[in-house]
Amino acid sequence: MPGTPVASPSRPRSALKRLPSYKSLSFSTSKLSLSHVTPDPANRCPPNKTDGSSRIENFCSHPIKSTSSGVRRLLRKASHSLRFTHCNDTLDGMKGDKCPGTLGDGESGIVIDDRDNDCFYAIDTTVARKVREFFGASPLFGGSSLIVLLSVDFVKFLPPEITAHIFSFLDHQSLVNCEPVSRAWMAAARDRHVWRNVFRAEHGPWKSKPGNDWKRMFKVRQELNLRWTQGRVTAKYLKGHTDSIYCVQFDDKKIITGSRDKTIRIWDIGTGECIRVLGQGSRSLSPLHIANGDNATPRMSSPDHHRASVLCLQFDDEILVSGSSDYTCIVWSVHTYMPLMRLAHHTAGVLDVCFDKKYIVSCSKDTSVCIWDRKTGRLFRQLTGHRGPVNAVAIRGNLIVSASGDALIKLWNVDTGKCIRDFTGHNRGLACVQFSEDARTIVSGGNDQDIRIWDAASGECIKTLVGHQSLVRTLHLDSRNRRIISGSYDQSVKVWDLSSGKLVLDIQRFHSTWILSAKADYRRIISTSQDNRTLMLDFTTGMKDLEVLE
Amino acid sequence: MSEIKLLSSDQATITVEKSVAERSILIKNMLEDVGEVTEAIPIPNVNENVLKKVIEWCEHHKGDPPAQADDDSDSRKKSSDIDEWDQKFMQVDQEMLFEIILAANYLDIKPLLDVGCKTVANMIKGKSPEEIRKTFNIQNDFTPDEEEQIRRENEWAEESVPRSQPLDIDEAC
Repeated sequence: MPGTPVASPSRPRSALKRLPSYKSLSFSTSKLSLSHVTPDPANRCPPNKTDGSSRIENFCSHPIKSTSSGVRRLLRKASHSLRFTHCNDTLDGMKGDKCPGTLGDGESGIVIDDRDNDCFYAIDTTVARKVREFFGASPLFGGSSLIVLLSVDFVKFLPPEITAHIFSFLDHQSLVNCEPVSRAWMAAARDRHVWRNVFRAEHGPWKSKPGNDWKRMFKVRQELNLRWTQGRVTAKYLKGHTDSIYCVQFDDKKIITGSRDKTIRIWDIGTGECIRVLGQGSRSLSPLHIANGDNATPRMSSPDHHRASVLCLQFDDEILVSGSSDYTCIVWSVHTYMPLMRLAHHTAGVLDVCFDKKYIVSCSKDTSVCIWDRKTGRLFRQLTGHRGPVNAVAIRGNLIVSASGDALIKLWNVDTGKCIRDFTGHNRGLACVQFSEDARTIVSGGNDQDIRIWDAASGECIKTLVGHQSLVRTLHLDSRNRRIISGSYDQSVKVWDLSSGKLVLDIQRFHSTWILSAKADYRRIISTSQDNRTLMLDFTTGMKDLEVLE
Repeated sequence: MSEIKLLSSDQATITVEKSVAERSILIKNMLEDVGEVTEAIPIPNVNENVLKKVIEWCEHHKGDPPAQADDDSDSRKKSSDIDEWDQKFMQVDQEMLFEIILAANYLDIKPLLDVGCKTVANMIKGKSPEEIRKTFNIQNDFTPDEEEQIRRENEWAEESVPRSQPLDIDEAC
């Protein structure tokens, strides 16, 4: 766990270093322990004791030497603050304001300073007893007085790595509230390791670069999220396909789309230019066509391509898999965009495709789902059971979920090929289905215009998101950013909060016809439509400091 | 079921099941290095009260699955995530709480350290700076101007506008 402040690499080493002393000590002190071998049960610390006054009694009765340096320090601080003496300042000035290094004894976390222990402890004991006598009689004040007595500015005496660990469990608002508390707290609350953890807790994993300013990154993400709720976007249309665009996926560099014009296009996400076309296209390629600037795109004379509409695609950093009305899937290299193999078994159009490290899964109008070996392209298993075309499919680990025109969602076990359960609730045919990242949640949409969120384990419908006014054609569950993106035949793209199920943003009138596919990341929504255009909505236009996220 | 003896900083010997004591990675590694030990193992930084408290926690949690390496893929941790028993266990005064944290750190018991740190984090959560000062008895060493400046720098962190306002963003483009 690189960078986890508490488990600093020095600790195990120092633990080992101590070993000889443990050994020798354990032998030399063995005589002492005989009479204490079994602890007196009456002496045991009751687990749930919250009664402060008995606590005080407890440690006041300790012989001086029994108190660890930590307790002594705590008591000393507490008693000083209780008496409001000015020597508090000198003490803190001496011990607290030193650079963190001097505080951090990797093993004990406490600077051991034996010179002043006993006398200070003696004072503390007296003070504690006095306080107990003073407040002890009143049960009302008993508790609060002890809070005063025992509350301690831990930032000043805990090793900085433990303070950082404590702060790492805070949300960002609580963390910025720590800054104005005191100088020591401000320094601790601005620690970049703390902010890294807080950033990740809120926004999920993020590339860690040396020198990342995590607090600034958090600030930028915060502003960006605000823009999502306010709908502050700029739009850009990518033109080139000559027919409906059925599918899209993108990453930081590129957008890949598949169309009814039988081609796959790869676009530069920065410039919006089409950089590759895979396939011949539905219209004949006349020289005129190229001359009048069908983007002068390098049209690939690839050895193989789809001979009908490209209905679905998915890519990762190795391969691109596309499915087509020509009944097959093609696996392409995502580096060279050369076809690597063709998966042929379906007896009708391939409506959706997905894959993980091991399997490629395709579903078809032929009502079946095929599982293929990703490496060899060999058919591993065919799942049958749906009574209508299987429009959508998703895989997570050992589970496959499929959604069909028969209005059923089925969950399958990859290894056995058995259907684990049906999810019933939708009353019309289904168009889309997705897993959450942890596979615990499934979302689905279709012709009944509702989006349903399901518990994958129980099969129960957790939420129904109502809002679309026509068939829900596409869903993208962005677990990382806690959003669901939906696109519908009502020509709108909607953004929903994954946790609350509330509608965050309703994007209308950007497309003039049915939405067929939509995907999103932390800063963009990209959608495709029957109007031959791909729409890129960017929430970051004009934002300052955006580069800290890149 | 073998037992070992621990010697606290105040010279109290506590007998504990070996498997319980081995929740402490420090003790576990030491036992692996040293082999059979019949003598009490000194824990020089932890006194009897705290050590007993720590052992009580270890006993309750001895059946827990081994701690998982920090999973970077989903490290969204919520500090409210403390199980009920642990919450009750941590209902102690601040002095004991910090002693437990220090002992857990020293003995290398990561889950106990986490529970302790989460407990402190929960004491901070949702509080204003002034309330934090009160909770931990902190002297404010900022001038009002300095404090105001820090607040202004952090204004961005305030709760954002209410969510879920459906917007027709046609004009935005």
